[in-house]
Formats: sequence, structure tokens, C-alpha cells
Amino acid sequence: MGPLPEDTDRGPRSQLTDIGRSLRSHVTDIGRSLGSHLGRIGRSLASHLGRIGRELPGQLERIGRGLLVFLTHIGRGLRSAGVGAHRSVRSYLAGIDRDLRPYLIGFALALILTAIPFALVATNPLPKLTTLIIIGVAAAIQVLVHLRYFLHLDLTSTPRENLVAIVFTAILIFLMVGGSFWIMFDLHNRMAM
Amino acid sequence: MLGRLTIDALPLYSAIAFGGALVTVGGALAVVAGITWFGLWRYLWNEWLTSVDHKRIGIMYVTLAMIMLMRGFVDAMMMRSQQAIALNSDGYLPPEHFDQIFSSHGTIMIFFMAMPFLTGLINIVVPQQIGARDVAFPFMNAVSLWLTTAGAGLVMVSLVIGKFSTAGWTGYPPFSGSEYSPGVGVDYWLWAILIGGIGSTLTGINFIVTIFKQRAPGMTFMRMPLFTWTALCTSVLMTFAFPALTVVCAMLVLDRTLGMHFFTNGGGGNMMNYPNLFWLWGHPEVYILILPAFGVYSEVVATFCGKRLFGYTSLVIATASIAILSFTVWLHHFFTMGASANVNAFFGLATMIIAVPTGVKVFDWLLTMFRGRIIFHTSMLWTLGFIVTFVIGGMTGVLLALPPADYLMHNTTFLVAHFHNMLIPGALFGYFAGYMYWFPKAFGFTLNERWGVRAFWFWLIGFYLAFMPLYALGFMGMPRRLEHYNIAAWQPYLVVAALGALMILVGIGFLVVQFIVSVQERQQALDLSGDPWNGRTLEWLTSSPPAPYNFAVLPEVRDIDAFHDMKAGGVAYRRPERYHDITMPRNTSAGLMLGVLAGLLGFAMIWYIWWMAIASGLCMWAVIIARVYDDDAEYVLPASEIEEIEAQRYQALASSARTQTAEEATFSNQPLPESLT
Amino acid sequence: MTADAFVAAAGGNGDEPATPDVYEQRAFGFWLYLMSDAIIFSLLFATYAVMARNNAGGPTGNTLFSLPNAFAETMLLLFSSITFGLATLAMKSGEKERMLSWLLVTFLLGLGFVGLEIREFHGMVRAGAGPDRSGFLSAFFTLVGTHGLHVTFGLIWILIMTSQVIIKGLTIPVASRFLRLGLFWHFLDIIWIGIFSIVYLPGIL
Repeated sequence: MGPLPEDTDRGPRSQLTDIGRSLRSHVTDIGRSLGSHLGRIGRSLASHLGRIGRELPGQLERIGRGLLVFLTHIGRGLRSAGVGAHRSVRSYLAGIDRDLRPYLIGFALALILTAIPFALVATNPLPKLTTLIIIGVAAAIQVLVHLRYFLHLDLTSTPRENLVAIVFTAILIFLMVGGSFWIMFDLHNRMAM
Repeated sequence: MLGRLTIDALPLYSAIAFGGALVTVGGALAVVAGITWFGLWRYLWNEWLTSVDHKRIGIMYVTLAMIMLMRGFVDAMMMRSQQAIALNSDGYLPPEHFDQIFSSHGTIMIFFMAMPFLTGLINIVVPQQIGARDVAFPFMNAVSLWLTTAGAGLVMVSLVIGKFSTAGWTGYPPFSGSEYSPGVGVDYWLWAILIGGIGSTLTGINFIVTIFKQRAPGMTFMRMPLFTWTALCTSVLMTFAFPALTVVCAMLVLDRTLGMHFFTNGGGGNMMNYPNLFWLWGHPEVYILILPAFGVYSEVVATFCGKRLFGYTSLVIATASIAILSFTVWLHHFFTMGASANVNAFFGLATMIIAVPTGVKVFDWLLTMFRGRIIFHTSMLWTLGFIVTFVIGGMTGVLLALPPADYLMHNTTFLVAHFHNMLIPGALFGYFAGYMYWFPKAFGFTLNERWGVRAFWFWLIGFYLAFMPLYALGFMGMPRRLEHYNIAAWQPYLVVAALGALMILVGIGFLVVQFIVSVQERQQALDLSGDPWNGRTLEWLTSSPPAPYNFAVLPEVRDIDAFHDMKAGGVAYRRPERYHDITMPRNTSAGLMLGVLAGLLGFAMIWYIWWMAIASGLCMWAVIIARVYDDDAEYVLPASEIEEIEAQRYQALASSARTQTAEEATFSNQPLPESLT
Repeated sequence: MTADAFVAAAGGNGDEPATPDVYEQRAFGFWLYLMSDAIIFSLLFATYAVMARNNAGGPTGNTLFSLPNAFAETMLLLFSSITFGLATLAMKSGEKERMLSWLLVTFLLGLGFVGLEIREFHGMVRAGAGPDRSGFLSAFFTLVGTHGLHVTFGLIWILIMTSQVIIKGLTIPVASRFLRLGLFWHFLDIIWIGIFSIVYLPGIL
């Protein structure tokens, strides 16, 4: 576009037209330039994206696999830690010999069965009769725990005559103590003694 | 220095007491003098006092029982004679002395006559009957013997130093407490039965283990002889009932010695707990006394009727039932002491139920006799006398089991008659039968039959005369333990009773004569075969007396009546090809020492001689600990020696009429035992 | 030690049946003794229960018993049962030194128990609450005192066992005796369960 002809006496309308024509060409230029730029960017982007798109699954796969491996490592580590912990408790219990196990189990049970009655008496939250019953039941169970885990009394390995003896003793104690209670409390009621 | 023991303890206050002390001391000195004169101390020490052989220990038990029978019977004679004359008069015994006499009579007869007698028979017989060489714990067996002897010794010492209890053989508080019986009498009683009671508990444990663990191969439980079954049940009762006696006596000791309040009148004492605990022991105790006698009767009936026992299984079940039920009836000894009707009813019912198994046993014995060929050996006479008389006494027991009836008869002479009816024809006749039955096994010669029969008849008739009047007197209202009375109607009965006691005295005299005559004539009554009665059980397989190890070769058992089975099969006297060494327990004085120290401990506790109590207690500990460290408690009897002993045995066997073939083993083919021809 | 080992050690002679296992018999006999002891304790318990309210106007369990003391005694006995078990295991694997160490610990724990109990009794007597004060106290002192006496005998037995292990080593008779001591010791812990459940805890409640 060169300088406008000697139409210097042309009026303002022609001047605006000129400006318009000039703007239009500028915008067109910008547009065309922008478009080619964008096109270039777009094309570049597209090719980039294409590349990424083509590689992404692979990448993701790699990342995923890596993550998986990582998690597996952690998992295996945890599991072996857990198993190891369990096994070492178990093997601690089963120990160097499995004879220690009953003592530790019995010990733990006895502690619990002792702690409960003592705690109940110390804090006294329940009515008296309930507490007494719990004490009695805990005592009875603890006696059985002692017989089983400390004295190794069971139905298979203990000689039969020992079992007969303890059952007979239990029956006799029931008769003697029960009978004595019945008699003495009956006397207490009847004769205030 | 000597606690509360002073010169006043000597019985210088009464001629009768002084007489008793003289007899006691004199008797002891005479025995010591006799042993010294015949130079028998070494023999006695080596062969008897340090022995752990169950056969020797058993003989010593029976010897103790016979001596204490005399002592206890003197008490009985004194009571009968006093009551016969004491109508509206003081008689010759002051009340306090009379009280001591009935107390010591009961205590001696139960703890130091009947218990040692039955324990002795069990000791001699049971290991042989089960085909064993010894009991499970020979040393503990000796300890039991010497503890029992210590208890008996304390009772004898009470005749010389101090007095005995006046609280009866049951010793109810508060009368037996320190407030009402401040002297040493009750303490003598307590320590005598505490120490003796420990001995019995240990015997019980010993024989349970022996019978469970030492039976010959093939002898299952249901092939054991009946005497062994009753011994097992008796041992169970001993092990589980005597702890109650230990507890109750210990509590009374604590009350008296340390001022505690278990049974006192005030201070929070509960005196009814005493009868409760005492009879928890006391009722099983009377079954301890009767069951071995039942066992003897079973053996005697089978042997002298020549038949297998009828209803073996029912006899076993009956014995076991009696043992268990005996723990459920104890209140019937104090129905009248305040319990409510429900409590009384329960125990009354249980008491009636326990009569049933005994009835079963009586029928079994009768049915064994039915269609048998009865030989009236003296043991059989005792058995027949038992069956008739015991059943009468049992029926009076069922009557007493009714609480309302018992209210009328408790503590009357009806009760006295009932329990003597149980104990004399029941227990004592059984022990006598066993004594005469197994005497040849223990000593190698049989007892004289003639004097035995005489003794039996005097005992039987004497018993009826002495105790049937007491039933009538009980119905007439006479209480027991009366030192004098003012009801003329009672006297005739009491005179008859005194006559009965005299007859029994004659019976005892005849027993002594029988023993002396038998010893004198023993060469004509030798038991060469070991089987004088054609017996059925294994103890007759051994020689008479047996070798220390009983059996050189343990017998193989295939049936009930194992020995009879062996004879019938012709395998009874087979000589083995070779003999093996046998390990035997060594003799030891530790048992005797423990007994002596226990006696000293008791004496010290009675008289509050504390230094002596502590010293004897520590010495007992020392003996026990020394025994624990003893590694040399056994020795080996070499096979060569055993072969010599057995060779002698077979020689004796050959010279007797006892080489059996199968046909000869049938009953009808048997010659009568020599001693009965 | 299996029963077979014991029997083999006891020795049979050729074609004779082996001698009855002495150690099995001793264990069974001791077990029967413990049963008779159980009867004794049960009757002492029964008497205590009957007389628990008979304080004759005197002090009751509430004022006399100390919960911390009872707990301490319980723990001492329970731990001593464990240490005895550890000693038993050491013996079974033949480790003499370890066994004696655990036995010593057991002894000390038991001694502590007895010490606490003596202190408790002494305090009660000094406060006028001795066994002659009332029926309740007579029953208490007798029941708990009998148990304490048994523990004391057990302590003496531990000393004897220790000396036997040192002098004779871990022979079969020594081992058998030790196992019986174990029965005794655990039995006493069982009785103690009864004591704190029937005497101390209800008394304080």
C-alpha cells in the first residue's frame, strides 16, 4: 500500500474509508499471522500431545508398575514383618520349646482373673452380691486355669487314677462343705447360733 | 522347765488309779525284763522294730490291738461292775473316775484296738492277695505303725502321769474346752488321736497306691479278692475322712492351748461346728471299722463252703456304695441337737438307704453258703454268729435312723447296745475270724481249734447277755454313761449285763489260752504247704510264713479266685527255670524314731513343756530330712539266695498233702485240713 | 522325663515284668496326699465361712484387711508359680544352672510372701486383733496361717531340693522329687486363690 493519491481534497469520508481499509488490512494481517502462529502452536501441540498420548499409556504403565512394585515391596515387607512378629510371638510362646506356652497363657489368664476381682473391690461400682458372684466365678475359673496350665491336668495325658482322685475329692468337698453349710445355717436360723 | 507337770500328776489320790498305774508300769517293766532275760533285744531290733516288711508290720499292729483290747476291756469290766452295784449307792468308782473310764474305753477300742487290728490284717494279707512283693511305700508303712503306737502310748501314759479325758470318746465342747476341762485329760485324748490319725491317713494313701499299682499281671480290678476290695474302700475312707478329724482336733487344741474361740461359749465360738466336723469323720470311721470285717467274712465263707462267692459284682458294688454313702449320713449322730425337720429328714433317709447295700452283702453270703459243703472252722463260727447278731443290730440302726424315734433313744443305753451290736459281732468277730484264718500264713502253724471254739461261744453268749438288756434299758429310759442311778427296775438288767461281761472276759481268757497252747503244740500243727484251708486266693500260694519277697515269680492271674484257678489248671506250684535278683527295701530305725519323737511331742504339748515340744519337732524334721538324703534304702537279694529259699519251700510242699493235679482240685476230692481232723 | 525312661531306669530283669514304676507310684501317692490336704483346707474354709460374722464385738475384716497387701501377696505367689514353672522347664532340658537360678527366684518370692503375711499377722496381734479375740479371728488365723505354714514347709523343701541338685545332680530320683514339689507349690497357689476370694475380697467389700 503506498501513499494515498493526490486526492488530498477528498473529504473526511474518504479519509475514514482509508483508515478502515488500513485497519482491515492490519487486522487481517494480525489474524493471518495469529492464525499461522496458532496453527503452528496447535500443530506443534498436537504433535506433542500425540506423542504424549502415544507414550502416556506406556508412561502410566511404567508409573503404575513402579507404584505396584513399590507397594508390593511395602506389602511384602509388612506381611513378613507381621508374620515375623506373629511368628516370633508364637515362636516366643512356642519358643525354643513348646512347654513354655502353657505357663505364659496360664499366667496371662491368671493375671486377668485376679485383676478383675481386685479392681471391682477397689472401686466398688457394682452391687455387693454381683461383685461377690463375679469374685466367685473368677476364682473358680482361675482354679481351673491353674489345674490346666500349671499342673498340666487334662483329659488325655493325665493318668486316669489322678483324674478319678480329683473328681472324687471334688464330690466329697461338695458334700462335706455343702452339707456343713446347710446344717450350720439351718442351726443359725433355728437356734441363733 | 517341765511346764505344768508337777508331782501331783502321779495318781496318789485314789487307790484304784494307783492300782491302774502300778499294773501299767509293772506290765511294761515285766515285758522289758522278759526280753532282757531271753536276750532278745538284738533280735527284736533287727527283725521287728526296724522292719519295713508289711507282714511284720501287720503282726505288730495286731499285737498292739490285742494288748489294747485287754486294756479297753478292763475299762468295760469296771463300768459293768460299777453299774451293777450302784443302785442308790456310789459304787466303788467316783464320778470323775468313771467318766475317765468310759472316755478311755471308747477311745482305746476304736483308735487303738479296732484300727490297728484291721490295719494289721490289711497289711499282712493285701499285698499277698494281689500278687505283689510289698506295699507301695514300705517306709511310710512303718511310720504309720509307730505313730499309731505313739498314740496308744500316750493313752497308757495317762494312767500313770496325769488323768485322762472325762468328755467321752467324742469330746464335745464346751465341756471339753479349757473352761470346763482345764486339766490335761482332754489334751491327752486330743494328741493321742491326732498322732494316731496321721498314721491312719498315711496307711490309707499307701494302700490305695498299692492296690492301684502293684497288682500282679492279669489281675484286673474285677478279679481282685473281696478282702482287697474292702481294703481299697477302707483306704479311700481313711484318706478322705481322717482330714476332718485332724481339722477338728487341731481346732480344739488351738482353743485349749492358745485361747482361740472355735468352740467356746462366748467370744464368737460356734460349738455346733464341733459335732458337725467330728461326725464328718466319725461316720466314715465306723465304715472303716466294718468294711475289712465284711471282707474277711467274704473270704471265710468262700473258703469254708468250697464255693466261689455268689454275686461277686454285687458285692463289689455294694462295698463301693457303702463307702460313698458313708459321707452323706453324718448328721444322724446329732439328730437331736437342733436341726430342722428337713435337715433331719434328709440325713435320716440317707441313713436308711445305706442299710441296703449291707443287706445285699448278707444275702450274697447266705447264697454262697446255699448248696455249699460247710466246714465249721472257728472262722466260720465267727461268721455265722456275725450274720445273725449283726442283722439284729442293723435293724435297731434303721429304727434309730428315724429322727422322731431317735429323739426318744438318743444317748440312752439303746444307742450303746446298737453300736456295740455293730462293733462287736460286726467288726470284732470279723477281726477274730481273720486272725484265726490267716494265723498260719503269718506264723507257719495253725491255731488250736478246740480253744477257739470255746472262745467263740463265750464271746457270743457273753455278748448277748451283756447287750440285749441294754436295749431294754434304753426303752425304759436309762441314759448312757451313768455312774449311779436310783431306779430299782434297772438293776436286774445291769446285773445280767455284768454277767455277760464276765463271760466275755472268759472268752478273752480262752483266746489267750488258745495262743499259748498253739505255740506249745506248734510242731504238730505246722502248715507246710502254705495252704491249710484249700484256699482260693493268692495269699495261699506263698509259703507259711512267706519269704520276705512273698513271690519269687509274680503269678499270672486269669480269673477271680486266682489261686483256685491255678490249682485247677495244675499250674499252681510250677518251679521256674531260673530266678532273678529282687530289690528289697532295707530295714531302718527312722520309723521307730519318728514314732518315739511324736509321742514326746504329744507329751510336751499336753504338759506345756515348750522346749521339749520344739526339740522333738525339730528332731522329727531332722529324721525326715536325713531319710530324704538316704541313697542306700534298698538292697538286692541275689537270685542264688532266692533259689535256696524256694528250694526249702518246695521241700516243705512235697512233705505236705498239697501237690495237686487238676482232678484233685475239686472240692469233693479234698482231704479235710489236718487241723480239723 | 517320660514314664518310659523312668521305667527303663528302674530296671526290669530279663523276662521278668519290669518293676512297677516307683516314680509313678510316688507321684500318685503325693497326689492323694494333696487331695487329703484339699479336704483339710475345704473344711477350714467352711469353718471360716460359718464364723465370718462372729466377731464378738471386735474388729471385722473390713477394718483389718489391706487390699494392697493382699494384692501384693497374690502377685508374689502367682509370679513364684511361673518362676517355678521356668525352673521345671530348665530341669527338663537339663540346664542345672538356669534351674537353680529360677528356683532361687521362686524361693525369694515365696519368702516375700511369708514375710508379708507375718507382718500382717503381727500387726493384727499388736492391734488387739489376735486369734484369741473372736471366733472370726480364730478361723482367719487358722485358715490363712495353715496355708502360710504349708508355704513355709515348701520353702524348706526348696532349700532341700537346691542342695540335692547341687550335691547329686539332676538324677531321676531328684527330678521326681522336684516334680512333686511343683505339685505342692502350684497346689498352694490354688488354695491362695480361695483365700483371697473367700477371705480378703469379701472381707474388704
